[in-house]
Amino acid sequence: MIELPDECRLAFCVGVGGVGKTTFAAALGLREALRGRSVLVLTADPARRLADALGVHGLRDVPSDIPLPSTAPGGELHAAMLETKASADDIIRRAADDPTRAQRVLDNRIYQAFSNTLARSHAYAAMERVHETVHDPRYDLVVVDTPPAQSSIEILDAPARLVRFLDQRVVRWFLQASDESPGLRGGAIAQRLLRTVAGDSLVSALTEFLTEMAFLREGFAERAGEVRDLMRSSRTRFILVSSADSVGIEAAKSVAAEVVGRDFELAHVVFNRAFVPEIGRADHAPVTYPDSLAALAPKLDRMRALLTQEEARKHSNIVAFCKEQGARAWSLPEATRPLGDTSALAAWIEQGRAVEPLA
Amino acid sequence: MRPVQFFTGKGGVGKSTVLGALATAAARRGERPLIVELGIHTSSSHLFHGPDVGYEPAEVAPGVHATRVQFEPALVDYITSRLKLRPIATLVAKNNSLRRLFMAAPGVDEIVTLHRVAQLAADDRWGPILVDLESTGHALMFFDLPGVLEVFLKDGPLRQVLDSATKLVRDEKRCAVHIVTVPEPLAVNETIQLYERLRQRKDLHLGCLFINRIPKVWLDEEEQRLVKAELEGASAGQPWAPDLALAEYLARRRQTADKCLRGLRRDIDLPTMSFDAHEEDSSAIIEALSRAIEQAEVW
Repeated sequence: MIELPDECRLAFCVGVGGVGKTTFAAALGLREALRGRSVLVLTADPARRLADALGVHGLRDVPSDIPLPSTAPGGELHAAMLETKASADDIIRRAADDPTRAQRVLDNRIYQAFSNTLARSHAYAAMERVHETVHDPRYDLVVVDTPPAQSSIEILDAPARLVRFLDQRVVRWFLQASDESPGLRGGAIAQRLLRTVAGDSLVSALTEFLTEMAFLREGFAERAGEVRDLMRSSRTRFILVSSADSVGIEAAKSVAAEVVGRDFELAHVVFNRAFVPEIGRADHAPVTYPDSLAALAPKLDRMRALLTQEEARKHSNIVAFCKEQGARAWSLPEATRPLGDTSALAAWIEQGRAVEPLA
Repeated sequence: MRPVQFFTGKGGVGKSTVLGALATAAARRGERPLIVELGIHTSSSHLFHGPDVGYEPAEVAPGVHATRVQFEPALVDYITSRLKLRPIATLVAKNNSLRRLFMAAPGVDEIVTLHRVAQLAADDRWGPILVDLESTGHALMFFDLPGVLEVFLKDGPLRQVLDSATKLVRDEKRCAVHIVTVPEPLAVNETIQLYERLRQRKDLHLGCLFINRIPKVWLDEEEQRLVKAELEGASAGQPWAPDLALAEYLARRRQTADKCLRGLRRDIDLPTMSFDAHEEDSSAIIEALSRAIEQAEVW
């Protein structure tokens, strides 16, 4: 039975793309809401998968209420899709001590170009929102669906990375390097190198940007520290979602290493599409088909044999993975009906099993 | 085949497998394919059961080379191209302050990646170059980058990188963008959205649509009717009922796939190549797919 402990306030779903991470995040949030908790599912993925999984037309930056398929006292489900631009602007406004300073950053060309487009700023904005929503009293639990592939992990580094970027020594070094005044030790050479490598216009634009951003550093450093504490908190769970085929298992191993390497605790691994519920026949002994099915019998046998084989292969992959990683695992079935609404989603996650060793 | 081929599509659709098969087929024709992976994970080493793919191109299968564009060596390569002296470039890249600045500064990662791709494209040793763009979001960011950076990169060396990369991407003779998908509803929705967005970009040249993992047809219509009738009638609750449920599920999966294929055909106007689903391990799949490619007329 897939369930988070009551003290868990924040669940990060990580993993490579295409393993059903978003669907799982939606289903997990739904399941916890049906247990009577108020849940926010947050996606940092610009594609519309979360909306599709929940059967709603679209999601915005402001959380939408998602109707539950059955009543659950106290249970609420909300979902939001991060719109990076708005969040990045909010972050600057919050970090700046006065509005004029904030406006100067918001007006900066570099800031404008980057805040809306690139992966890094997307990641930072996402982590900011996570931090903000975890402290929002309206929610008992926040489930985060991280973006696909490598940014899934990169997102976790974003706050610390920004602080390193704004590190006073680095900024001072950079500003000195681009300072035209003579007599700065090493500065002139560094400046020449930098301008050769990066070009005059970029160095000038960056100088302007960093001069403004340097004032915001304190605010960012404090926030990054809080985010780090949050991620290492005993109330935070990291859940790795993976497929169970051999290529998927290899990818899961590298994601697991990334999580553990950051001193975060990997609570659970979820293996999606690990079995097909229809072949869950308790008795594996061959059956005698009635005469009406005689013509079909060889095909039925082949189908079952093939799927049983595949399921067994996946199961042994999972067991080996758990043994190697010392992780606990859940396996989820292939969805045999489309998962386009909350009742289908609830029925699907209901079928999840804790992984038992091979008999 | 055009020398630089970009591949994009939702994660998990088997993009790397399709790339691997295309590369295998190209190698058999006597070409020198190079698979370019971006990011921290490598799929081609698992795919070909080879060693970890690093920055320097390495042979992963007969005639097939692969490389992974990693940030730091790509940065050194870029700086070398500006400063001409590799030892100095290495020093600059190893300078703590500068490296931190480059690693954190948004855009630098993307630019040095573009630079590396352009560098490989200019190298006569390779052709075709097959670039594995990780996910749809990643791909859009990649192609939107020049537009974003144009705002403040008016001149200078980074601008030159952007210009040559833009020129490469816009050159119909040298470059194409392909989409990989599977006939499953979520993937199809995303693929159609991606196609629309890419099509709006008039400067990109779309190549082919690859539809991977088309499920097998197990039952003909008459057999499907029989299964359904038995499930609802005489076989209900019998020990063999789960087998019929399985058969019904597999038939339904194929129907869903057919619906998805119709949707793709309706909404995406690109030469299409389809691959059947395979249950074997990755090398057998590569083999089967590359044979299918050799017989195809589209590619």
